[in-house]
Amino acid sequence: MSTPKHLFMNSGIRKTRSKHTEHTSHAPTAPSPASESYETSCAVKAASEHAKVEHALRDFESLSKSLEKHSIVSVTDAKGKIIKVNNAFCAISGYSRKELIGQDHRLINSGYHDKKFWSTMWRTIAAGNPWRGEVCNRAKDGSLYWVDSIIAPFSDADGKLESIVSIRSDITSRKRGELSLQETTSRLSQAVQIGNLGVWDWELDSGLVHWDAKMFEFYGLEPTPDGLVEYATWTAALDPEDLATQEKILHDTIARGGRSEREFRIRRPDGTTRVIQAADLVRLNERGIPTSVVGVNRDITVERESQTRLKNSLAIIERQNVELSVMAERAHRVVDDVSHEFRTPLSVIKEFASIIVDGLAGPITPEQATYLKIMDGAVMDLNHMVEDLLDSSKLRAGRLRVDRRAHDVASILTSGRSVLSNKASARSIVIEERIDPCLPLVFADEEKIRRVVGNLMTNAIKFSPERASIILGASCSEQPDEVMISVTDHGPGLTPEEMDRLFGRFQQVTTSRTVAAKGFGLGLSIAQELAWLNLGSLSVRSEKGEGATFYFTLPINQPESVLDHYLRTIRTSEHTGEEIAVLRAEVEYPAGNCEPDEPQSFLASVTYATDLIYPIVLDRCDASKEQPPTAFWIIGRTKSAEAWTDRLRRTRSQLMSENQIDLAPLRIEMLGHWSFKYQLERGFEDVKNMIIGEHIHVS
Amino acid sequence: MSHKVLIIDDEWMIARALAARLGAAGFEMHTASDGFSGIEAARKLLPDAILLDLRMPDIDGFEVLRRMRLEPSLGIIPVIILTANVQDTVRQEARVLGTAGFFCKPYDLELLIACLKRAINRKAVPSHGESS
Repeated sequence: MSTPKHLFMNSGIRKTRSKHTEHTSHAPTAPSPASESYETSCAVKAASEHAKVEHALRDFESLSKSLEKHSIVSVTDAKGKIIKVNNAFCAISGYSRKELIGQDHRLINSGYHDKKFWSTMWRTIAAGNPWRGEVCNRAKDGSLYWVDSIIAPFSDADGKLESIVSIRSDITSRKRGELSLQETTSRLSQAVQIGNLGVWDWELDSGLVHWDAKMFEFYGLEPTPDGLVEYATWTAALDPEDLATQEKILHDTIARGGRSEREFRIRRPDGTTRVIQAADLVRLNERGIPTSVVGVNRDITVERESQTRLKNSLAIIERQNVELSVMAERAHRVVDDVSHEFRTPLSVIKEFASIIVDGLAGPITPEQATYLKIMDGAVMDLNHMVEDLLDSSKLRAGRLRVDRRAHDVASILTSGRSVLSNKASARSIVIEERIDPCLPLVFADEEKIRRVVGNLMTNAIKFSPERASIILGASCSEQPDEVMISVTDHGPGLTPEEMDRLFGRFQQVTTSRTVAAKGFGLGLSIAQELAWLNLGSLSVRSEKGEGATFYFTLPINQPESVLDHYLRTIRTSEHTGEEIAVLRAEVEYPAGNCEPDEPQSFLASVTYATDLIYPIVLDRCDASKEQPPTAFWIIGRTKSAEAWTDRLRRTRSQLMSENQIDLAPLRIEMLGHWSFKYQLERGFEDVKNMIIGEHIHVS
Repeated sequence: MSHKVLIIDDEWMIARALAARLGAAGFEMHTASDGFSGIEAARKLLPDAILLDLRMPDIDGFEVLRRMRLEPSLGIIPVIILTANVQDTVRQEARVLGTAGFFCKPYDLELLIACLKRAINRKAVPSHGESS
């Protein structure tokens, strides 16, 4: 450390420099004309003195130059007014000499230091002593700079304060470094604090381990004054079960010279167990030899406990899930059983009513016949309710199967006629059929169409006044690839609000269902869903007081139409499969007797309503005879197309082996599978291309 | 000559109602109230068609069907399933076992009679499949 006094002396000398300069400048030019010898001796003496002075002066000169060059110098009078500054002062402060002279140093006061700082300085100087300190100043442009200042008072011969000299060196960059280091250090220690980290350092040579306060807190130990512990302090705290593995990891890490992350349990003196998460880093010397290990500990007991709790809750939820699905399964079975148990007594009532109506038990009056028909209608209502209940339970679980095939609409509608006409005739209601005789074949599940029509007709009969007529119609839809089936009644009709309410529910084409709309029973919402499963949609047209027409559409039996309708349907399906897959099942009919229907029935029974089975029929030479399909497309949403294909193949061979029967072999192969979302965005282009391309190729 | 039809159903009320209505439609009706006596009756009568219930106290309808298929004289008799069970799996199994029809209770008598007639006619001309 340089002494202030030394510098003070230098500056003092510098202060008196002008006098010496004057003196030396006179000496050679005006020598004293005194006696020679004396003069000589004096001259010799003087010469040597002179040389000394010269030498000293040269020193001062260079010192002064150096000061001028490297230091920031200012001189003030006793009152503190600046009377002199060097260039360096001007340069660093940004003020010109003109601006500085006559001002005091408050001009460059940064406000960084407090009053006490300055009063100490003034007291020191007033006592005649130099003061040294690090001062933060403000330049003209407002920027701050730091200087190491020595401020020294100079007194005249009487000891009165004459001037104050300040010599400074620029320490701004050092100071900035110091400050940023300080900031970094404090940030680091805050981080350690916020992260709730205990920090330890193990010097391998000495074996000394240093713990910070947090470490002692974690381990429940009294802190040592210097924070020093032994390695054994740690091993003693470790849960004995974890000791061996933890030591091994740590020592392997040291041997490797790397880092590790660990988790272990410790036992505190109070008997509690804590879970510690640790990270270690081995420090190496320049020869790559481990010298120390530094590490952090974190108490994660609470986190681990909540994790365990979470895991337990998850296990409970999973168990409850299993229980729920078992219960759901049981509920489905109950519905199945109830429906089974209801059917036999219903049949008995219906059959004996018919026996009496038919006169098989003796003659009856027309009135008796009417009552028996009402009974028959009620039995069929009850039967439909049972069916609705069964379907509703299956629809909700997404387990309803469909068997869509090419059908003639007229024959489906007329085959269900007798049941309905009994009900209608009991109220003298006339069912008028308006079925277009030239309709194309539709692709639909016959039984489910009959159910939809049955439910619509039941509603129509319910809301019709006596002796009114109900029109059952089938015609070409506005869309060229659809057939429309409609039921028109002359009942009270529906207000727009009622239709909204009815169809607001309908338009959510889902398998979940809220309570059926008031007055319409479960039947209408099931009809809507069954229409949807038939790749169509159910709508209503009505005006209050003018009756209502419920109508639904079915795709015609033509591949493009069926595919379009199917893709439109699954677009809104809740079915969760991530993929859409296209499979192809080729049938090899054996030479012997076999049911041509069987392969399609099989596929329908192992797929769901949200899948599409479409038969490919090859027209061979004999066009007069109906040919069984030679292959099928199977399209569906699935979690895994491969697993789906496998399951279909396996089910087929199982069916054969369990019944010890030879069925027509089905060769099921996967043609393609895509992400459902991707295909949805592309309008199912790849699926369509695959199918339509195949179709053209096949036919 | 009227065709002989055997009803195998443990529900006597159903059997009786069927016997009355099908009898009125011109069939010669016989009934059996469980699986074993049904097979026995079939051996004795060699009916033209059998209406078979599925859920019965001793052996179920499918088992009756399998056993009859083992006897050449019984194996050729067309069997129509008449059940209160509407599950798709049951329907599929019936189809696989080669039955002539599948009716759920309560059934439509007209359709049942039509199916019976078809089955009996087919049996009479065994070499031809029926186009449906």
